[in-house]
Amino acid sequence: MNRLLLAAYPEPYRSRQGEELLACLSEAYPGRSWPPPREVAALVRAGGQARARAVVDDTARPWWLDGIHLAALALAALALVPYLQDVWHWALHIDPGRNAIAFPFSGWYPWAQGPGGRTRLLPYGVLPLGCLIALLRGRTWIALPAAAAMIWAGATSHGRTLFGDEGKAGLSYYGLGAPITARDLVLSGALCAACAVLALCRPSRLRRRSYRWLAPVVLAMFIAGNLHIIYVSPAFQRGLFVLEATALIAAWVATAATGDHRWLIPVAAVAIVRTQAIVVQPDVFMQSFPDLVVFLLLIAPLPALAITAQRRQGQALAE
Amino acid sequence: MDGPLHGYGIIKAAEQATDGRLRIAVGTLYGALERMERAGLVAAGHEEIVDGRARRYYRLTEDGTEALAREALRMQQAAAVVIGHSRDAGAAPA
Repeated sequence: MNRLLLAAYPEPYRSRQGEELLACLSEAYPGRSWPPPREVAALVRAGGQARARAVVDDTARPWWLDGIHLAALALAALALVPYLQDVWHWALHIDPGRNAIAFPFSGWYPWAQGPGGRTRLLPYGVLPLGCLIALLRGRTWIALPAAAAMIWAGATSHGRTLFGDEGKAGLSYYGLGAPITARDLVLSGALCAACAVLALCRPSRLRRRSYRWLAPVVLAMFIAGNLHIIYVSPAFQRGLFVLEATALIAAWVATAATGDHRWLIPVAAVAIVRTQAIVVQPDVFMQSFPDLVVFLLLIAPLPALAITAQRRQGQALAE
Repeated sequence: MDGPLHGYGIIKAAEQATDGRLRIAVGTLYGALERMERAGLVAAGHEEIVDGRARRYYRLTEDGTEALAREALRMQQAAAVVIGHSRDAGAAPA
């Protein structure tokens, strides 16, 4: 089981020092297949820091380009969140009318015609999903048209046969861990702008990430699709909030380990998009959390990350 | 400091030097070793296999020895300030 903990470290580190670290663990905790929690926490933290340093050491591309790439990935994932269940049903040909909660606003598929509803060919979620996959693989010329199509789908009027009326009708913004639906053009606009910058002004190739990064996305689709959870469910909201908090902590750990500003860009992009969604679309669901708490949780990480980066850089200079 | 030590050797040495008060976590130790190696304070030396376990030995470089001396002096001065203040204030009656 100790070997499983090594996955926290980047591959070059594992191949160079993995065996040595495992040997040290077995000497420090003889007969134990799993070290104590304090040790697990130290290994996970050190592995995360080693990964962050490996990213910064890769000077094949400027930090701001990597930061915008991360921001685009975060925004594409944020845009996909409300449509996880829908995409899962479409991919597996599950009749949405029988399984999805609050379904009728989004339309029927041709293979599952329901009474009196509109027909659509595709779920809107394939656009942010396609954009996310293209960005993972560094294919900006595929991500850019997908992001532009998101703006089009969110801005045009009802009654279309391609994506139904998704994004123009139906449930909207909800609470703290709030997914933002297609009608919010600031999200799709910011994603499109990030993709345009990546496609047009790139001085070097983008980082190509493994398809393994899609595993958590597929898992989220599986959970949302099979447990019939939609994004207005409190369980979904809490899960998403935990995910966001984890991502913020990871950004802080990476910034503290390296003093690099690249992780500030995705945090700022998500904070801006989420804040405007709260300001523009307050509704009854918003009362579930006080506005001030939401704003503090979204805005406070920005100066915290900037100060952390400055301090780390100051320490590096002093050394 | 003693000669080159492997990872677990460093943990044991720190534990013995502090009468068991300090037990460095393996993850913390290797994170610190990596940072110090990058800063040129520590250098990885020879490797060997003992009882089927891989061991790499680390030693302080000249820069590392100087940094250690500076840090020890700084802590000694800080301790002297605190001890001096305590004497000036005088011991409180029991």
